[in-house]
Amino acid sequence: MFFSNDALQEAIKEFRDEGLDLLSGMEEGLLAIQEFGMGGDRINAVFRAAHTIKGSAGMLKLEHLVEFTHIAENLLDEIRNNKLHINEPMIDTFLRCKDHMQNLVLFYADNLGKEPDDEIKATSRSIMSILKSYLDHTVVANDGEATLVKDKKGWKIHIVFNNDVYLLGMDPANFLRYLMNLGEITHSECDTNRIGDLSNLNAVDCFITCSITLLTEKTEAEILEVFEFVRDDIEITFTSLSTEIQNPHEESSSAVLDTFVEVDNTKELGSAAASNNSRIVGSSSLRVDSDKIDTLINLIGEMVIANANVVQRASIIQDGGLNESVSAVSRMLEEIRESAMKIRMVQIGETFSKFKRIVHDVSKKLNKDVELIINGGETEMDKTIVEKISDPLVHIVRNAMDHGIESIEERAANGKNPKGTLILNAYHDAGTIAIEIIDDGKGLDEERIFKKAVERGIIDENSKLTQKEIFNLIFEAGFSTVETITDLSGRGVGMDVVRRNIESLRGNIDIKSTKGKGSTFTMRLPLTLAIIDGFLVKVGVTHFVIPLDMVVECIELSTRYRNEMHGNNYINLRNSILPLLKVRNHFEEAGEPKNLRENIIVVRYAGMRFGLIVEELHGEFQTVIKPLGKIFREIRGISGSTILGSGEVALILDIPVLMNHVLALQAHNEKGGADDVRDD
Amino acid sequence: MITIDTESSIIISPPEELVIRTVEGFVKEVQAALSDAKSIFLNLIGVIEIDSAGFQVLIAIKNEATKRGIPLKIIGMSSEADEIIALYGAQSFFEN
Repeated sequence: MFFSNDALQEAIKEFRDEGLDLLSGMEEGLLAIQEFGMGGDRINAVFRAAHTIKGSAGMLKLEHLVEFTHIAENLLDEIRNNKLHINEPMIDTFLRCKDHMQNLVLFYADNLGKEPDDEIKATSRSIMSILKSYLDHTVVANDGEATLVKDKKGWKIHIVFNNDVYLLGMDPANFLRYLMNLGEITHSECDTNRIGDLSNLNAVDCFITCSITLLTEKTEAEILEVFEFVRDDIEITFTSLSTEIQNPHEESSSAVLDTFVEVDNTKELGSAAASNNSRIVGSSSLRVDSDKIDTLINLIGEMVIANANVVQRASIIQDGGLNESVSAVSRMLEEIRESAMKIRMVQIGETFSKFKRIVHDVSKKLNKDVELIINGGETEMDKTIVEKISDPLVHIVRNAMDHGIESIEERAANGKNPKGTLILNAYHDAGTIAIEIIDDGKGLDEERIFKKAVERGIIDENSKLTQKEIFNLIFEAGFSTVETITDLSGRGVGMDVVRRNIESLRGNIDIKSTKGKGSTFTMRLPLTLAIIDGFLVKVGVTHFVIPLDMVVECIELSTRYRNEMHGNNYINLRNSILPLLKVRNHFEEAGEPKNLRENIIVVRYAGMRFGLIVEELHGEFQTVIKPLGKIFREIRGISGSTILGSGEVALILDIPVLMNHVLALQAHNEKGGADDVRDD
Repeated sequence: MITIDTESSIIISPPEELVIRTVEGFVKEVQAALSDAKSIFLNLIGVIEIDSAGFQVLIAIKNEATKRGIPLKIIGMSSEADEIIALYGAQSFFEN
């Protein structure tokens, strides 16, 4: 198949997306085989992933990927046909294989028309030689240990029979049949071009040329003896297959591998076609470039802004019919917006499932026994956010396994279940998504963290910190409490980056930990980054938007409340204390309020409530989030901006940051109060 | 034996022994029948002996059909014919 440059680029992009999906499925399948055994369709699913990738790579002429995947696919075929028993080391090799295939897919996607460099090829060769050793049946399972049982070698034998072979009374087929006594013919191929077509055929002349792959313990000389009687009437060449794998640059190698591909096509055509069909029939999803969705959402965002302008002008004209039409358009626009936003929503389970592999690898490396439990995998969030939290999540999970969960011996000695537990939990909460990483390890050691922070000069040794503040020290740049740096975590360059990444998504992270019992890291992130339902308020001349999901209620700051406050920043709201933040004072709004009537917007975040004192309430507002310029990056409490129908700018309040500010103020006041008592 | 199925398609049934001794006659018969064929069915069910010379005739028929743009389909297969086609790894060649 030939592609134009543009078509090739498009095809490679599609190949990349499909390939990564398939590889992720392959990994899941392998881990499931490891956990639950070969049952069901698991091995077939793994095989199909490799098979489809090889097929697509073949069409795109990604030769090295075809070459590499082919060997893995052959081995998987042997396993699914019960010729080989899959064991732990094999699964590990396949997992390595999957990682390498992923690297190759990404390489081809990023380097159009180029072949991988020597370093990548060296990795390929090393993995291929392991796969090949299994494939040659030289290594068999023995209680999970690989044992060498035979020393078979692979030969590719190319034989050209001269025209007069039949006249000598010889049949080339008999030589091939005899070769079967020396070993196993795993592949054969005939040169059909040499035979030609019927109109030019001299049927009594021999036009047989064939290539066979023979797995045998015999040497080249021993194989040659088979052809003793036709030595003068054939041309025969031998290539050692193990040499071929080590030297993929050799011309003969690619020929052999092309052959492999062809044979494979015949063998697998039926099942692969069937699996492809079922995939098409079974799935009603459509793969769309995310840029296209982004463009759509941006356009809808602009439409929402333009519509706000129309709404405002219509309200000035005060024409009943016009108002009705405008409100119908607005309603529909809202539905379109919601539907478009849903396209971007993906289940977090996909991201979570890759942790099975991480937990598998890290457990092995650290010699720990850890069970991973995933809850709430169906929770949906914006794809952009999912992608961006992946790295921070990996870091926290690795940290939990490296520093949190103890070794098997240590857990047993402390009367704990030797098998540690790591839980990934996701759920929606007040317009945010909360992701918890819970471990039942040794928990954070407050004293040790404090001591280290003093040593590193992060805090003063006389500092008085709450438990939460001490835990938060681990997010400071350069902080690391491990005595030995491992290659998994403990370089002290991670957790500060983790917090920064989460905060850059308008999210935050919180730690709860009990010594000896375990820790819980909770990330809270917005559901989306593009358009939200907001609640529009005004303070002085400035409009502010509060994410509607976080708004609990609006109450008037009546004279009764005002009198009860006695100058404090809280009120008694139905017998519970509600801390307050006066937006005018916090953002140093200039001028005086036009009227004395003020309102309290009660907001809820992370299970806590506080009130924002504002002046005018304007109600619900579809908010297209526009980032603030770099110049405003340092302003705390504002997460973005939006454009109103009038063209004015409204600022979106960053409720998590404001809540932390309110809590800090409260803590400060309580502390101040205590100091006052002492002063007395 | 070659039978004309309809005006446009022919069924080729090689002799029981498709070997070096019989291939020349068989080739001549097929060459004569192919001229007007629009499609070819190859019935190998009756082939009880076949050698490499017979095998290469089958390949040549397929090549000829491809050259003429005529579809060729195998409609019957004996174990002997199947064995030699597999021995030379030519199954896919007949499926294309």
